[in-house]
Amino acid sequence: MQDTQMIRPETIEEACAFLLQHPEARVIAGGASVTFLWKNNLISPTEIVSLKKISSLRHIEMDAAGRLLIGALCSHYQVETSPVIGEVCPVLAEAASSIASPPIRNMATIGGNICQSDPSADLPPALIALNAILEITGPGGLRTVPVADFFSDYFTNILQGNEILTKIIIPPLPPHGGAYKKLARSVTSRAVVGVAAVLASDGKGLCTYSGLAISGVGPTPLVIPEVKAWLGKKIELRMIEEAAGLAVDRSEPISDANGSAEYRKEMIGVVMKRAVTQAWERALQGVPKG
Amino acid sequence: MNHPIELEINGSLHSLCLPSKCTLLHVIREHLHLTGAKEGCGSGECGACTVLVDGLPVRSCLTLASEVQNRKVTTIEGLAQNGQISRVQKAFIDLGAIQCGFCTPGMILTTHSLLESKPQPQEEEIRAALSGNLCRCTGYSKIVAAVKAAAAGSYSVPQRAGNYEVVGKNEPKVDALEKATGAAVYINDIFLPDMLHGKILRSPYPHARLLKIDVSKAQKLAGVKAVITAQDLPEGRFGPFIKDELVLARDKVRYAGEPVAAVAATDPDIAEEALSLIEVQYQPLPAVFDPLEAMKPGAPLIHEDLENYFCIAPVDREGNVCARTLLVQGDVEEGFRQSDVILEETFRTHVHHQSYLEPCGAIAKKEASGRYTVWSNTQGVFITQARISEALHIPMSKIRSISPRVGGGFGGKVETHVQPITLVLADKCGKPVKIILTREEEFLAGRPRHAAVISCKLGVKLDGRIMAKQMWHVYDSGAYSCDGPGVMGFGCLMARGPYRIPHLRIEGHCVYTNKVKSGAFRGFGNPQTSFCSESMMDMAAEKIGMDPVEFRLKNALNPGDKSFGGQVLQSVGINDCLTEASAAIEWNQKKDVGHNAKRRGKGIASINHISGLLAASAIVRINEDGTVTLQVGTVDIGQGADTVLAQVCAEELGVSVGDIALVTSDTDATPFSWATTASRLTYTAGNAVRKAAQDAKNQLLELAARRLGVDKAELELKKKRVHVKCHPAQGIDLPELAAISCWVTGGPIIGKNSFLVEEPAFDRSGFHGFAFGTMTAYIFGAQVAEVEVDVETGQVKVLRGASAHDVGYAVNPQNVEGQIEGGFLQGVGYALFEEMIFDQGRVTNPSFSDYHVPSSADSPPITPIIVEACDATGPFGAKGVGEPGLVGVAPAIANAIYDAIGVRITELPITPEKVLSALKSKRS
Ligand SMILES: Cc1cc2nc3c(=O)[nH]c(=O)nc-3n(C[C@H](O)[C@H](O)[C@H](O)COP(=O)(O)OP(=O)(O)OC[C@H]3O[C@@H](n4cnc5c(N)ncnc54)[C@H](O)[C@@H]3O)c2cc1C
Ligand code: FES
Ligand code: FES
Repeated sequence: MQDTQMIRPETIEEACAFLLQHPEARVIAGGASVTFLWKNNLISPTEIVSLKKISSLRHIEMDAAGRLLIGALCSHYQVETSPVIGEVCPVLAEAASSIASPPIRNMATIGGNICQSDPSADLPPALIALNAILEITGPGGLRTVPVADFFSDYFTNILQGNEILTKIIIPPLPPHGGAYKKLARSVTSRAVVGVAAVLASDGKGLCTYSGLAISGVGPTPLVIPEVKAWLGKKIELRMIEEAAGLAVDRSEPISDANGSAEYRKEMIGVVMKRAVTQAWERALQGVPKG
Repeated sequence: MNHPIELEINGSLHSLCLPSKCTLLHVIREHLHLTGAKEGCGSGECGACTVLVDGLPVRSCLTLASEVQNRKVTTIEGLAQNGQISRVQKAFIDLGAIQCGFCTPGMILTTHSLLESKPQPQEEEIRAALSGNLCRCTGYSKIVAAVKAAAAGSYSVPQRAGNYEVVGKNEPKVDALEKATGAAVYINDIFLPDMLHGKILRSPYPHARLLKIDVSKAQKLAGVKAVITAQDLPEGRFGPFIKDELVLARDKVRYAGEPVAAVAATDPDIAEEALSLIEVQYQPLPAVFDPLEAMKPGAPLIHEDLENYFCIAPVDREGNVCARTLLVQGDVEEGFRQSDVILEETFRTHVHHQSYLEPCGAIAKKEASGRYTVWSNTQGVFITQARISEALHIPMSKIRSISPRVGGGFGGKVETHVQPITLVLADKCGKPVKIILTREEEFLAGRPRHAAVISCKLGVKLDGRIMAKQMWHVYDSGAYSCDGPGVMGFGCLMARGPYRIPHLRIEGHCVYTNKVKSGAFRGFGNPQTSFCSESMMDMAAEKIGMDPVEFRLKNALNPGDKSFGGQVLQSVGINDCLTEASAAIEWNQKKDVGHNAKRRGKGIASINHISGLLAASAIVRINEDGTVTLQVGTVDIGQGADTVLAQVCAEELGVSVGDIALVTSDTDATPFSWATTASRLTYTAGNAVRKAAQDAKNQLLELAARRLGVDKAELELKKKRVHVKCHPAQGIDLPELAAISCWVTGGPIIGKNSFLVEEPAFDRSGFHGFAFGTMTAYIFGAQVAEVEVDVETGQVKVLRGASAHDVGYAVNPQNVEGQIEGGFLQGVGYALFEEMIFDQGRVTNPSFSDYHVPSSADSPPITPIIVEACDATGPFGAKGVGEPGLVGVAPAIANAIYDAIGVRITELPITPEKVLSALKSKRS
């Protein structure tokens, strides 16, 4: 059996320095996916870089500009229960709480969820709907990428081998309502279709912010930019149906044990209607409830 | 290469040197032998491996050991403080939340963490918190109750008043404490010195000729101690009905997953690597996957030698049809002529996996004497012994078959799994060998429930009387017959249901296909036929405008009526089952129809079943201090047989359960019992134990009569004392009496009994092909479900369920409830969630991430209802309850869906897609 070297850096710099030397090294965060792949010989890394000791990656804080910064190593449980996330962007907590079961949420991390780039993952749509940005640290320092631009294919993203996802940045949003609706075969299983919607309204019931993304219906989360046209309008069923029509056209779902491709397509509209309706109700109430 | 790591586990520091790939689960089990954490799936889905890291539950199977250095790891072994179990452990024991116990350590640890953060959780919070810990046995009801009780801090165990001292009481399970503390030993918890690990090479083809197997490269790999193929074995064909199965494929393979070769090596990874070095040449053959296709002339023949296989009973076989049954009563055509309404419909059911949390496994060792000891998780140590014997041509006297604790079975561990292969490897290496299947192998090569196609024609009169029923069953056996003829034959026998129907013609075919062989699973053919029959009952009720409960009551059997075939039924509790189950969900109240996209409905189904068959025997020895040793060859797979048998024995001998030393599950140390199947142990083994205890009691009374100089008839044995009935002061204490028998006169007292359900005169004139005759006492049940259907997504949620069962007499009501609740949830899984999916014969969803076993959060509250129509032939009137809890659930749910949205689903499982498409066809 080949030996694998495990590195446990205590700072991001140290981790990056090692990755610069060993771009083939595998980063491990919560380890739920990496351990499974490794023990079943689906990956055979010669070096593993554990992020566990980099405590700065576990912080959740607001910066001076009103941006919410979430360390990549925060567990789903942390995301689900963080008071500040509950206040600023509860839709993210709602998405986190829909993942698998508590023990998985105790282990798996937000960074791992994004970097694993599973097309059915629940956090990416919520992050995209919130217009979130990823802070990536690499040999050349920091770069930022909108979450919407991060994914490139099934389980594939634009991260280079020598880069680490360090922070998830939620930009300041007006008071809004958000909702994440996950359709799944059982409470603990993966999304057949998951839709995150984030909407804000002005005092007159007109839309001032719209974010929407869908998981489970293609290689990467599906984003419908046309929902920007909702700005300045009252959200009506017809508009949701139009957006759903676009989503259905652009979706490329596959069939698996959770549902056929046809079913997934058919469900886009249903789940989208439910997510958008609830997000809009919450937006109108002015209470940003998950 | 190994690296030093330091772990803090249960407060102690451990310095170890390990490969970096080692998981926490591997370290605590294999290195520290803390075996309370179990491996149920290895992929993060089941929760059996749960441990706490800094107080939070995690999957130790997906955690690298090196990643939890400097953190506090707590395993179940670390919960007890100063020798005192925790309040959660205690509540689990007291409230019957433990059955097979395989999920228990993880469940208890997760509960601890929950109560830490939420001392008074609501039911919904409990169900959500435990949703990552699957339990296949309990239906979660008693677990949720135990968590609530532990949170509340005080609770009482309900006890009913009764005529008896020990039976009828909620005695805690005799093995509950060891299961709650993680001390219980299951197959994978046994570590023998020098033990090797075996792995099995499986066919990737569903049907292929085996041209050549070259094992030379595998043999050369360092650490490999033996590689075996069919050439190393005698051509011993085995099976419960038709002897058609081989330990390793010989000339051809008949399903993808069939064992072709096996390796033993010093380490499981080496064994796995060796498998990849075995070169096999296959010549793929045309295959057939659908049983109806397989029945057509010209279909690829799966067993060319079918005619020549030995069979234990005439089965009427031909082509790919390995067994046929025809049961006729009356004249069905005449019955249809007398009917006002005739309905016809065809139903399909799917392959359903037992998904016990503990994977199959075995350890075999060749003893110095030349005999073999085989430990395995089996539902019957004697079946295992017999199958090994016939497969490997080894006399039974040379095989000692033992079962440690078993982590659930539900039928899937009745027939052999890896025992013969393990034995051959151990024989070749001269060292003990262990094989534990992976969860994937469980799906690829287990013995799941038969898929079936069933057509039914039902004739009823407008007044509600059922006049005639004709059914045609095809059970898909997969590649081997295994229990197929029995499942099909029993399905046919149960096809009448718990009703009086004068004219019947029931036909069944058991058909080979190139898929994994099917076997026994809770209900044994009855769930398939009942899905069809009980759906038809509602269709008929609607046609004649009668309430479904009333329609069933109108046709329900009464005591003194006959079974299908003519057995006189002494005890029949079906009426009470129907009335009480329907009342439990307010059947007669105006229903809440739901709103918007969510529509509600209620459904019912009623069923009959049996309390088992075949033989059991027991030996009761009175120890010289008056305690008792009970030897019985049964296996408790979690349902509680050990406790129930101890209760029966204790009652009869006037002692308490704690006075009984139980010896079970060992072919050397216990007398014969056929397996834990067919809901039979309480009835058959219970009878054997009771009669053996009576035998011992008789001898005690005789001895006492001699000592006291009174007539035996004047004596009774109660509370560890024999006394004269009308002069209680005159008597002898049991310890004294026992000592006298051992040291003074008479000799040690041994009671024994051999019990066999025999067939009295049974009119077989209408029974053709493979057919069962007289059974033990019939049991009855009615199941109800209230569902909510989301008409936009097609999703069905069971809001609540109730299940009433006539069990004769509940020897341990808590155990009975546990069986009812667990069976109900498995039925919900069967109806809505679980399905083995095949593509060209290959299972495409062999994991718990794609095969959805319901979690606590998917499960409804279930009301168990015990109906007691005592049967004079059962011990204390007891009958069976193991299987029927599942049988009627699927049709009850299908009927509830019809009630909610007016569409009839005729194919299981009822997936959201099927509901939607049925809704669409209804609209158009
Ligand atoms: C049983 C089970 C059920 C699940 N169900 C769901 C579900 O319903 N919904 C859902 O959304 N998810 C689900 N998941 C996935 C889970 O939420 C995580 O996405 C997954 O476990 C990966 O997170 P992790 O922290 O464990 O990452 P790891 O396993 O440590 O890493 C995953 C991948 O990401 C890379 N990586 C991780 N962090 C970084 C980083 N900071 N920088 C660079 N690369 C990084 C790793 O190199 C690796 O390739 C499930 C997982 C399991 C095991
Ligand atoms: S063994 Fe770890 S979750 Fe099943
Ligand atoms: S008791 Fe839970 S799996 Fe058996």
